[in-house]
Parts: sequence; structure tokens; C-alpha cells
Amino acid sequence: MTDITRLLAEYIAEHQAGGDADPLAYLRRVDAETERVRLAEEIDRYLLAAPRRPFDPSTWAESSSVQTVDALDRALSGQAGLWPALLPRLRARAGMKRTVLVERLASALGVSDKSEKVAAYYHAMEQGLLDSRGVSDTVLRALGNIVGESLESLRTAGRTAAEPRLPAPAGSAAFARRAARPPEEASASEAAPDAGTWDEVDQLFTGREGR
Amino acid sequence: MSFRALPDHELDQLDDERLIAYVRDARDAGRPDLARRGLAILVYGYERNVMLRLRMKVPAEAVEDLAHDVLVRAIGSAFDGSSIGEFRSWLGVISDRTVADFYRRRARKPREEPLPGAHTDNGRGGPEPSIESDSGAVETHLVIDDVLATFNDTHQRVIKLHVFDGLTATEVSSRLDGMSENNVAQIATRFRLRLRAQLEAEGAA
Repeated sequence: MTDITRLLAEYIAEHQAGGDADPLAYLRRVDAETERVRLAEEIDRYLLAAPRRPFDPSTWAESSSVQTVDALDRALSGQAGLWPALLPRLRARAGMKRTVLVERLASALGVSDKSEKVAAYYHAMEQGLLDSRGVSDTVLRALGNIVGESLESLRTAGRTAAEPRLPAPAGSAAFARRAARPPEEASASEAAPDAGTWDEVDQLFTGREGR
Repeated sequence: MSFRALPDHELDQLDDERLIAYVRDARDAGRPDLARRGLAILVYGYERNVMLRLRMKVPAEAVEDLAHDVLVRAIGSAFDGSSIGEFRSWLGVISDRTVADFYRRRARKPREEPLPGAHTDNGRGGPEPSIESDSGAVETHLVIDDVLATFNDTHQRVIKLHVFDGLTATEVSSRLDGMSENNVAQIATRFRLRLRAQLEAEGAA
């Protein structure tokens, strides 16, 4: 049995026994880079094919899986695909508070004087309350430049979700204000757009021409 | 069609495709609580393996964050039918793409800064995710350049196409004479391992 074969067998045994199974600990035990690469590929292949681990409710409750399931729950219930799960993290990676991102986004869109409205729409995007289909490429390109993601990737993430379950957006600033709060707080009377408040920001985020 | 709620131990026995179908059916039946339980079993079941694979490919501080991305993207696309093939294979594809995206961002951006601790504008989205600080230690893009420079020109091209541009091993091998898919994979693995080691060394310095 070669060293690589033996190490792989040890690794698999530790993984199946529920141990740490840190692959790096095993890779460090191999001196030659060629062999290390081989072991890394073998471990990778094994992990890729390995079945799901059995559910353990007590471990689950303490795991980071909870946060992922929360995010998926929001994403699958909203109108913005995976944006609720991904946008906050992209913003976090860029090291930006939402207020800073909104300022930059408004500036990039040439609507710095309307950053409050941009903030409401962006919040709705993060919460999955804004129909992703209405958000223009201009907005996504500008947002992508700020958080380091491509327009295509953001568009795809916005599309990838279950059927919408919330009412279609009213396409207005009034919607944005409503969307900026939890759905349970939004009243039906607020769904109607405000007369006279329609502007280019609404168009950029809803794709509608106005009334 | 009537929906039947299943206990955890029965959900555990379902294969991925059936488990995903169960979650979808539970949502359609107006039982988000049961749908969530199914999602929990799917996410919990794969999170560990996704993280272990990522541990070999990206710096330690990015593993948890990227694992979240991988699972969200893979499961999200499984629900709208845009995933391809078996879920487990799809998870691997998404994982590889996420790693490519990570390095592309790193190559383009000097470093990832942690968020300030206090947030006043977090809405109701739950706790902020963030990547742990590597402040004062690593300018990642410089490390990437240094590690890249340890490879010959052809191998650098492979790394740029496969690791940074996200082309598949098949696509890269078709562009470069005499380069097999296995070679592409080995070069990429070698690069990531050297990069990880270098980042660890810089971080510990």
C-alpha cells in the first residue's frame, strides 16, 4: 500500500467516523508536492461522492446550517430569487454598511439626490420583496461594480427561485416604502402608488415607465 | 394530491431528488415548517463535505462564507429547475464555480475588509455575515502574483483560464496543445495548495 493510498484510507475512516477529517492535516503529512496534489485530488473526489451525513437535530441547532436555511427560506418565499441570501453577504465581503453602499449606488446611477428612494428599493432587494425582473441592468451593473460581482451573476441569482408567492410589486415609491418593512406590517391600502412621485429611480428599479 | 408529512428519520432516507421534491410539495401544501425541515436535512447533510472540499481550495477565513454561497446557489437552482443532473454533482459544479469567482474577485480586489462591529442599518435580515479579518498580514493579490510566478508560462495560462476565468478543464485543454484535462486539474490543485500555504505563512508572519 502506497503512502497516498494509506493516507486516503485513514482520511475516509476518520470522515466516516464523524471526526474532524481536516484534509489539510493529511496533506501536511506528504512531503513531495506531486504526491500532495494527488492526495488532494483523491480526497476531493471522495468528498464529492460522499453521501449526506445523517441529520442530528442537536448538532444542527448549533450549526451554521441554520443561517443557510434561514436565507434559503427567505429566498424561496420572496420575489427576488437568491438576492436575500446573497446580497447581504456580497455587501459584507465588500466591507460596506448598507448606507455606504446605497450612497455609492445612487451616485453611480446619477441620482445622488434621491438616495433615500434608492435605499428603500435596495432594502427591498435584500429582503426579497422587489420583483427581480423589474430591476434594470443599469442597476445591477452598478451594484455589481460596487460589490465585485458581475451583472450576469446578479441577474441569474435573482432568477433562481421558486414561483413568486407575494403580490406583484406596485412599481412605485409607495411600494418601496411598503417593502422596506416586514410584509406583515404592510397594509393593502399602501399598495397603490403615490401620485406624482414617480421618477427615474422607480423606473430603474421596477422597469416600468410610470403612470 | 395529498401531502404526507415525514419524520426526520424517513426524510434522512430519501435521496436528494426526492428530498427536494418533498420540500417543494410541503411548500405547495402550505406547510413551510415542514419544507424548512426538509431544507435543514439537505443543508446539514452536505454542509460539512462542502466545507471540507473548500478548505483545500480557499483560505480558511473564507470557507464558511463560501460554503453558504455554494449551498444557497445549488439548492436555489434545484428549485427552479435550472440545475443540471443529479443534485450532488450539481453541488460540485457550483462549488467549483464559486471557488473560481472567489479567486477572480481576489485577483481584482486588493483585500476583503471585515465589517465594522456595529450596524445600525441591518434591517431584519438577521446577523451580518462577514469574513474574518486578515488585517495587517496579507495583501492577497500580491500573494497571488507571487505564487503565480512560481509556475511556467503555460501553467500560468492554465491557472488564469481555469482558476480565475472559470473555464472548465475540458475547455482549457481544448485551447492549449498537449494539455490534458487531468493536467489542468493537477495544475489548478497545485496552485491552490501553494496559494493556501503562502497565505497561511503570510498570515502567521
